[in-house]
Amino acid sequence: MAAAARFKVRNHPWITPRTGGWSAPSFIARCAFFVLGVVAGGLTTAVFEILSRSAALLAAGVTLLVAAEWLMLRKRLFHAGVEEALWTGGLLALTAYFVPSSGDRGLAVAVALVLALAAMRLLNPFLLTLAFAAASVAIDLAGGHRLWGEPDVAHAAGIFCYGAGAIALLLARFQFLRPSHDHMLSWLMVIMPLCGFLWLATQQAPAVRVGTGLASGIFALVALIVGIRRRSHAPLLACMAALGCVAYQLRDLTTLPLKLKLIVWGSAALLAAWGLDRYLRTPRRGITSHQVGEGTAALDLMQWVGAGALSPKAAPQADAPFKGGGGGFSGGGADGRY
Amino acid sequence: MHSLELECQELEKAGVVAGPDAAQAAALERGTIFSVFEELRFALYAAVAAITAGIGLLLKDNLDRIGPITLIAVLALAAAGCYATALRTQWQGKERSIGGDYLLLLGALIVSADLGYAESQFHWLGTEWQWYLLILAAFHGSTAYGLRSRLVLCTSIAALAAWFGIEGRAATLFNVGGSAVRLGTHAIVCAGTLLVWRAANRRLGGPESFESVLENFAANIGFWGALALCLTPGSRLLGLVLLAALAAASIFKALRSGEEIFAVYGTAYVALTLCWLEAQVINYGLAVLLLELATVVAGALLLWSFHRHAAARA
Repeated sequence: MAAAARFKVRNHPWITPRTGGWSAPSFIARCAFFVLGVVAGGLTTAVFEILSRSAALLAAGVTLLVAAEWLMLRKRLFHAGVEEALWTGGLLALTAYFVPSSGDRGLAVAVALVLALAAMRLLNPFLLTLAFAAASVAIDLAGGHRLWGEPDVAHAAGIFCYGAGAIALLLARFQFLRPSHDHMLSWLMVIMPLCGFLWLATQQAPAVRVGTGLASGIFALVALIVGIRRRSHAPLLACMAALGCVAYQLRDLTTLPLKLKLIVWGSAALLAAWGLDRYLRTPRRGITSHQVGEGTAALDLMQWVGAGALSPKAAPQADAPFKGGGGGFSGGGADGRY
Repeated sequence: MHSLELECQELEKAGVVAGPDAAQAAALERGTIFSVFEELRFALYAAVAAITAGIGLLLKDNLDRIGPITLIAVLALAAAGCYATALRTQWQGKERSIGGDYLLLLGALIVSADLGYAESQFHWLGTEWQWYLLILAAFHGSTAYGLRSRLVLCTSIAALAAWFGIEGRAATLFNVGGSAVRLGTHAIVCAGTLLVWRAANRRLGGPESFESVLENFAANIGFWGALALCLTPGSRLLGLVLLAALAAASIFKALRSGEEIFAVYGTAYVALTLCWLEAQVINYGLAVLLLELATVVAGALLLWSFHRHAAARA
C-alpha cells in the first residue's frame, strides 16, 4: 500500500485485490476524518453524559472502541483518521473512568500506556510520540513536581526525552517489517529532543542553558551525519529542529535588539540555504536540491498559506482615522493593525 | 530502515507504473538519489519568516534615528536586489530554483512592508489609505505573472483579502453582532473576485499552475465568509444558502477533477458549521447532541463516498 501510495495508484485494479481489501484515504482526507472522528467521539461522550452520568465514560468508551474496531475489521479502514480518533478516544474515556483522577502521576502513566497501546494497534506515529510525551510528564510528576510554576529543574523528564530521541535515531538503522515502524522512529527522533528542550528551556540557570544548548548541538550534529549517511529525511528534520533550539539558547550571545537579531540570523539562514540550493543543483554523491518526483499536495498547500500569512494585513496607521462601517468594498474593513 | 525497492520493481513488472518512474523510485529507496528539496523549503520559509518579522518590528519602532526616507530607501534597495536575482534568472532562460523562489518572496514581502510604511509616514492616499493594499495586490499580481511565481501570487491574494478587510483571524468570526456580518459579506465578495480572476487567467492563457492557488484561496475565504454569516443571528439564512452553494460547487469540482481537497472543504466545513449552528439554535440538550452527531456522521459518510467514487473511477 505504501509503494502504491507513492505512485498514486492505490486504486489500481491490480493493487486492490493484493491489499486484502484494506483502504486508506490521502493525507488531507485522513486529517479531515480525524477531526470529524474527534468531534463524533466528543459528542458521543456528551450524549452518554446526559443519559447516564455515572457510567457515561464507560459506555462512551466501549461504544467508541466497538465502532472503531468495526470500521477496521469490517470496513477494512487503515490510517483513515476516523478509526484512529474513535479508538484513541474510547480508550482514553475508559482510562478516565477506571483511573482515579486524584492521582496525577497515575493518570499520566495510564494515559501514556493507553496512547502507546493505541499507537501499536493503529500503527500511528503521532500517538506514540504523544505517549512518550505523557511518559515524560509522569516522570516529572514522580519527581515531586507539579506541571507548571515549579522553580526546580525537570532534569529527569528532559533527559528521558533526549534519550528517547537518541535511541530512536540509533534504532532507525535497523530494517523493520513495516514502513509505519520507520515513521514511528522518525517522529520520535524529531519531536522528543524538542520536548526535552522545552522541559528545560524555561530555566535561566547558566548550567542548564549551556547543557541544553550542548545537548541540542550534539544531537543536531549526529542527526546531520546520520541523515546524510542513511539518506533519510527524518534525521535532517531532527537536525534542523535541534539547531533551532541551539539558536534560541544563543539568543544572548550578542546585545543586538530582537529585530536586528531576526534580520541578521534570518539573512544568514537564507543565504546558507540559498547557497546550499545552488551547490546541490548538480547532484553531489546523489544528493540534490531538485524536487524528485511529484510534490505533495498538502505541503504545497501549507506553503501557499504560509506565504499568504507572512504578508502584512494593513499599514501601520498611527494618525489616519479608521473608516468605520467598512466603507463599502473599498477596503474599509482593513483595520490599521500591522 | 524499511525499503520499498522490491515493491517498486514488482509494480513495474505488473505494468502498473512506467519503467522510468519505477526506476526513479527504486533509486530513491536505495539512496542513490536523495532530494533535500523539502528540507530546503522548510529552512527558506523559516528564514524569510524571521527576516519579515524583524522588518515588521523595525518599522513598528519607526526608527527616528535613521529617518523614514533612509529606511524606505534601504528597504527598496533590498527588495530590488531580490527582484534582480529573479529577473536575471528569467533573462538567462533558466528555471528558478526553490532558493530563488523564496528570495523573490522575500522581495515581495519587503515591498509590502516598505509601501505600507511609506504610506503611513507620508499619507499619500489620505483617508483612503486602504487603497494601498489594492495597489500592492495589483503590483504583486503583475510580478507573479511576469516572473511566474505562485508564492508571489499568494502575497497578491493576501493583499487583496486585506483590502476586503479579511485578516485571517478566527476571533473575528465569533464577534457576533460586531464585524462578523461585514466580514462574511466581504469574504464572499473576495472569493467571487478570486473566481473571476481564475476564469480570466484561464481565458487569457495564464499559467495553469496559478489556477489551483486561486481556487484553494477562493474556497477557504468563501467558506469562512459563509461560516461568519451562519454564526450571526440576523444573517443565518443567507449564510446557509451560501454554505450550501459553496459546498455543492466544491464537491462538484472534486468529482470532476478528482482533487480530494475540495471534497474535504465541501464536507468538513459544512459539517462543522452545521454543528455550531445547531448548538446555537436548538435548546434541548439531548436533541441537539444527537442531531450534531448525525451531522458529523453524515459528513464523514459523504467524504468516504467521495473517496470510494474516486477509487471506482480510477
